[in-house]
Amino acid sequence: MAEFSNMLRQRLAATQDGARVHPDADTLTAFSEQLLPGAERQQVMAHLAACAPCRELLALSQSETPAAVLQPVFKPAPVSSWRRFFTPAMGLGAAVAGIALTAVLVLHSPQKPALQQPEPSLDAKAPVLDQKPVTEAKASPAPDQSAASESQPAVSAKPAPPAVSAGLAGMPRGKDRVENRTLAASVAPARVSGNISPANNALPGSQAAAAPPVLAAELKKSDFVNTSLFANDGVVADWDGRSASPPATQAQASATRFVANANTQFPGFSDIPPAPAGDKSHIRMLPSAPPDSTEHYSLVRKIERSARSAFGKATAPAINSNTLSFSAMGGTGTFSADLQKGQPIEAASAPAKSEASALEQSDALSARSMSARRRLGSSVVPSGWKVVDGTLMKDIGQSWEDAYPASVGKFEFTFVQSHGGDVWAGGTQAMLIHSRDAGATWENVKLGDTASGSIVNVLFGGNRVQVKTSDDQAWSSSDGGKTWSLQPAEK
Amino acid sequence: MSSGPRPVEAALISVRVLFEKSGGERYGLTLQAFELVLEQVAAKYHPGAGQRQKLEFWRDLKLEELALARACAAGHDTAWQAFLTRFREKLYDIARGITKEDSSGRDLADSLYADLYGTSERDGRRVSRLNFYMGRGSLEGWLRTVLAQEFVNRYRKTKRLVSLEEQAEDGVQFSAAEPGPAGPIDSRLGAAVDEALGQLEPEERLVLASYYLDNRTLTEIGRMIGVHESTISRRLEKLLKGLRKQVIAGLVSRGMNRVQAEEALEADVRYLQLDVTKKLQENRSAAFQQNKGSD
Repeated sequence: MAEFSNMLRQRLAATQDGARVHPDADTLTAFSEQLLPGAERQQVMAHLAACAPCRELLALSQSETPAAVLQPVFKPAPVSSWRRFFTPAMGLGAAVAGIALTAVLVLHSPQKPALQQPEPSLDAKAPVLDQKPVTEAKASPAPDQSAASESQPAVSAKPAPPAVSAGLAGMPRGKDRVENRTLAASVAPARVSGNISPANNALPGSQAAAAPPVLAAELKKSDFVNTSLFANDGVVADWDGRSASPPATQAQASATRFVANANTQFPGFSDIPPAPAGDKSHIRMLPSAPPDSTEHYSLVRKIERSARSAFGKATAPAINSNTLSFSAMGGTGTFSADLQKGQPIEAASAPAKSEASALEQSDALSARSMSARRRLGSSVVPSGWKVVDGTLMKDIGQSWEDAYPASVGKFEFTFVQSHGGDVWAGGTQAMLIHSRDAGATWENVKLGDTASGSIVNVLFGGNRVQVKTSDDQAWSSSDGGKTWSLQPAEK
Repeated sequence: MSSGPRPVEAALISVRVLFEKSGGERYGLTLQAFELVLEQVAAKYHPGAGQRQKLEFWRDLKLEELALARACAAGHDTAWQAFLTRFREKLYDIARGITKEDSSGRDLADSLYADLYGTSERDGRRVSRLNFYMGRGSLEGWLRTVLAQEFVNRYRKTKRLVSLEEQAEDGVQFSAAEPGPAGPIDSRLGAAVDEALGQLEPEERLVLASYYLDNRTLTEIGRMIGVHESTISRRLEKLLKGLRKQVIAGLVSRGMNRVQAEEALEADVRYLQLDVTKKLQENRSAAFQQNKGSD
């Protein structure tokens, strides 16, 4: 084959005709950016194939990180149905199901001690239970457990079978469950669990500020708060089983936050690059919901819920690319200084309000948003978005269709970013639109009066949105796009 | 009777829409000046096109950047401010990326700035290089291409000025004479390969030429064409297999049997009478002299 390659090389060189007329810089640029119409592109391609100098020029003028090759819309990689059975979530789901089964049996047989060996018929599940202490030892250090228990004065401790009941009651309720919460539930058993009455749900702001045996004591400059971990798809259930937006519940939840070292291994967190040795940074996660006060759930129902939460979104990454890009506003792979430093202050100064009110004011997880998500669950969800020739296109399965025909003649789209049903698209003249329901309805988003240029980037996670324009303006909003502020230009 | 606008009025309305879309007004450009620019672009790329075709062509241009470039060329301060804010640092970065060295990159970018501002005069008017930007691709991409072109020109100029000492160091005087034509090879082989190459699509020929003649990496070729490097790798493999089959088929059709055709493909390439380096150098000098004149 080597000789054949050499021969090809020789004969190809003979086809180099040294053309007299070369495409100009504009045409080469348009070719490089794939903006030429088909016939003209073929012409330029034919010229390039025969003209070494133009190839050299084209190669030299290529960007190191071309935008054309990067995909602005991230899609989960297709996974075959068989591969799903071998994901870590499968093992996790089996473990949770085993824990649930054992827990219910233990709870319903009061005459036996909690740590008694399970029934002979359940011997097959015993190895799964045996693995649990290993998980605990890895994920939750002992000081955190004590700190968490001290910071919950309103909790009426129910120590009897804590390790198992937390795993059970922490299971998410509601339709929009994600792996993250199953994960939180599975690592939660080390904490003190118990029943929390609705009256005790709201922790005062002062308590949240004073809570930090877990927070401030552990939080160093290299720490970062993974606020968007649950913000995109992850819905955090409050004590009543309803949804709550993570920002609204940070102050309260911080009191019981679970602190895991960055090196802690979580199944499904394949997006997170492994921390280098000696890295002291931490990921703080919201705790699982406390145990359910009602114990009349049937065995079948609980197992069904556990299994559904484990298998429902087995392929969804715990942290998606959007989350990472949002966190990387301050630089590639790092969290911005504002996010690093501002978070404890934010947690301390959060108003003391009940989680119910936080829920009502939460925009990201409003009734409309939730209903949109429910709709998405049953209807066709566009799996991809792109901008072609200034037109916003969405993938409807077999083909692409214009997703926003109203833009024709008014402005051109330049950028689109989506995650689930949340879609942000921007165009010329700082035009920005947002859809919460995968493009079924759109709302115009008005940046500040001084906004100019074309939208070149939109980063979002939860209620935080940052928009960059071609005029080097950076607009940010922390309320889902209702109000915007212009960020000072980067030096 | 229809009360809609007449064709000429409709065209004007559309040009006005394009002008508003370009935001040329904030750079100090007038509608008339912008229309002249559009006509100039259409005359260059679509001479003799009708009004409707021209409007469709103009709609696909990078109007905002075209207005900015032309306003800069016309000397509007607001436009220059916007241009420098957006492209000053980028230009330095691009130049550094091309030259792979800081000081020469800065030097290259500075020289382009001078050209963009317009140091030469024609008919009493400053001639800015930005007048050559036509808006077909992005302004940043155009600047990148122009910088690359400038770099190649500079390299060629300095390459010509090689001292005798440097030549001696390189051992030019002592190099062996070019070998004469070697023994003849079956002409049917060359014809079969040429035939197979001639049947390739332009993109396939471009991939082959970039890989075998220019020694580009898969990543570089992928960037040039706008596909991932793994795609290029797969295409190359497929291409080679296909070509081999075609060449063998060509040789068989020219009277060889299959074994002979296979043996012919293993022929030593030194028997082929072609000098690739010489050929490429010839093409290069001709091309860049032409290119220099076109801008």
